[in-house]
Amino acid sequence: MSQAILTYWQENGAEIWRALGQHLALSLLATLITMVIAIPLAVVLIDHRRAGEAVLQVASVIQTIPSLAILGLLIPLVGIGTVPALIALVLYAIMPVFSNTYAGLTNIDPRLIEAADAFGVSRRFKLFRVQLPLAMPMILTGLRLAAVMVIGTATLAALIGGGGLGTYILLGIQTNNNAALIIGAGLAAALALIASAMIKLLARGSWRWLAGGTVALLVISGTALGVTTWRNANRETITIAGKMGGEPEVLIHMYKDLIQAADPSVHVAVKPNFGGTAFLFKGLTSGKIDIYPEFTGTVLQSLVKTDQAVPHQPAKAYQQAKQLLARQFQLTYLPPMAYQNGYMMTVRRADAERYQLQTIGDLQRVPQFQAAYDPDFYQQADGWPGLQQAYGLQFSKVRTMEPALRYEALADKHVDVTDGYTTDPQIKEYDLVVLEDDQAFFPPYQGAPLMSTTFAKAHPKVVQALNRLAGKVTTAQMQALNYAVTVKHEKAATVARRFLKDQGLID
Amino acid sequence: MLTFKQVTKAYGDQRALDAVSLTIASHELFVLVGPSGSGKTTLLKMINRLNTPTSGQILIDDSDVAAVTDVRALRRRIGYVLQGGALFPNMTVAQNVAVPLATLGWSQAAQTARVTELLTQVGLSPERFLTRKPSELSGGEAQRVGIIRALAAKPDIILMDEPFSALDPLSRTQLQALVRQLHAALKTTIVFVTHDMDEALALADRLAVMHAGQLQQVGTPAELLGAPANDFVAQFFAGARDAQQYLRQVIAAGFGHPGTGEQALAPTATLQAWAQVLRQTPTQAVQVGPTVLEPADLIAYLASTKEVRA
Repeated sequence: MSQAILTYWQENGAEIWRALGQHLALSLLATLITMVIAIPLAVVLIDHRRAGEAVLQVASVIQTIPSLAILGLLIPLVGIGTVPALIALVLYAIMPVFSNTYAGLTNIDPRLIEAADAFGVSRRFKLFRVQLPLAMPMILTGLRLAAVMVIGTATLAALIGGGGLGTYILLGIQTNNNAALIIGAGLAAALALIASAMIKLLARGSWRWLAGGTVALLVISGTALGVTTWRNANRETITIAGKMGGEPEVLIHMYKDLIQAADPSVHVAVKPNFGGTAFLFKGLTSGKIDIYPEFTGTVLQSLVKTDQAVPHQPAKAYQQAKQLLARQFQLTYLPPMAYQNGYMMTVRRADAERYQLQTIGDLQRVPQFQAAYDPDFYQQADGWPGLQQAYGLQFSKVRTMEPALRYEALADKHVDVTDGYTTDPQIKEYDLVVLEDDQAFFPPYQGAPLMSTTFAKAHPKVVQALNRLAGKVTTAQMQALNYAVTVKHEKAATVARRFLKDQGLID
Repeated sequence: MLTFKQVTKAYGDQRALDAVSLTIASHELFVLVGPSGSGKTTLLKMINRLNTPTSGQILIDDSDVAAVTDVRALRRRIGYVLQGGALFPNMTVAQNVAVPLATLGWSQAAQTARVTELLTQVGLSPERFLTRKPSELSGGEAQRVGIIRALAAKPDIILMDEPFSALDPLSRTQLQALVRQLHAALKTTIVFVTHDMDEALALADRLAVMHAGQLQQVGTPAELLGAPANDFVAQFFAGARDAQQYLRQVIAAGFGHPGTGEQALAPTATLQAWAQVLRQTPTQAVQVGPTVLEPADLIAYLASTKEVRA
């Protein structure tokens, strides 16, 4: 394991450092903005206890809102990337900083306040020499809690293209890459510990030092953020996002390379592991992202409203999806690639040969088999219940299992048949046999670029470039690409470029 | 000179102070004494506007404190000592003492010089104490620092609110002596609040006894002990009266005879004063009003009252 981590680090060192930097910058900025909001607010409310209590209540309520919900609410308002992540982090961090500062300021020994008043000291002297220094241990405790929480929560920024160490955590979960997961989580934890220790050290420094440091950090972070924003603002940026996992990441890198080959002047921003379908679709309809790859089956089952049954012929399914997306959401759905990433049933090669298994129907002959399914597949009508009826299947035992584990269970002969997706790299990894869906029971899942019609009309070159993928990439090729990224841990960008070159799609 | 005119403080129907009128002379060490809840601290805090009366007036040298627009300027002229010293724990001893000086805009050098002088004056070595934090001081040391902080800007008036009530008896006695000594040297008007009658008697030039928001009696310690105005004052000082007795009590106990003595003493003079006369002239008879007391009467009286002392 440690060898794997070391290798992963050596191959991705530069990106990891950049993610660490992003994570640190995001956390620091969020903590500083929180301080700038929460501490003055607490100071202003020292003599207004009722208002102070009210603010405390509001801050506590905000903290109970799940972070994903906050991100979902923010995307239509402020888009994706750093800004919504920053806002969400600040909203969370206000509560510990405000409550501790307020408690610190309002629980000072009243005799000391009376003494300061009795000597007729100025308001500034009372605040900066008496109240804030005496509340400082509490304020720093609040800051420490906030900083640790912000560093932990900042891993969520990766969900909405904000980058940071969460990228590696998500990548690790999605591609079953423990090295990436451990690096992402480990660095985030280390960062939190270091931040906590540093604030403890700060507690021994003076208030002036802290104030000076705050101002300096704020100026530096603000400048850096401003420069980055300004530099990006001068070029047109096309944002392409992808769902969690290795396959979408390969696809969006293909899109990027094709677009830039067609028009080198465009800047393409790639946001891999952006989140679930709902996030991406919301991002696309609100114009915060421009393109993302979506499956025909998903469009028909989750995104558009339709009373019709999902057609089992891929071409019909695509046409129906295209028409409904255009009518209901003014979106343009380009022609799909060749491969199918739909449900499938799979068995070990030895069993396939021994029992002569080629189609799903052949499974009728092996009722002694034990099956393991993804919990969703086990419940959905287009999963096991429908399949069982369509083919008249019966197994000795059927259980549900974590999707990532069921291939291992199959390979280790704990079960004999499982469900899966046609492009899963484990088919290649464990040398499994995919049984043919001869009755065309499973709905078709073909990937194709989705964008707004306005965007498509304004960017004919982009449409043209992406259409070069139409009908390309077979299921076997996609399996191989996924294998390279998920099992071999090659970089998605490298894998995508190599494929495009091999196919003569780019020079 | 400080003048209270019909000062009343009401909280709803409750009267914390009820029409208190009182005059404190300049350069006087004046003690406000009474049980807790008697209104003495409320009265004290009205002098520097930490509290305000519901009705009535407080005058400093004929100017009404309620008319002052710049409360901070008023407070900078008045020193303040709180229970336990109330030093700012985040500042050193030097910084604490210099708070009123910094507020008045003194230069750093002038502040340091003044703080050093004051520390020396109360017997705290500047080298050892300037840079200490309040947490490193004993209770007595902390209150010495609290006192010189109040003295630092040479105010005309110093207010002391139960300053010694948290100290051990030895420190308390030492600090009481220090306050008397500083008062003698500086001639500042000091208004001192305490609930401890022994402390009041030990310190006061004059004292005012407060009870339930009302002023009971004002006078010198001897006047109050010798001629309490009412039962409350008499009872409040009962302990002290046992410790310190007066010729009036000797006569009331039936000693002495009518006639003329060689030296006249007031009925409120103490037995100690009488004893001092006898030490100089052991055979002298003293004249108290129409009564003459012989030296033998002193011995007989003490013999009859020794039970009470125990």
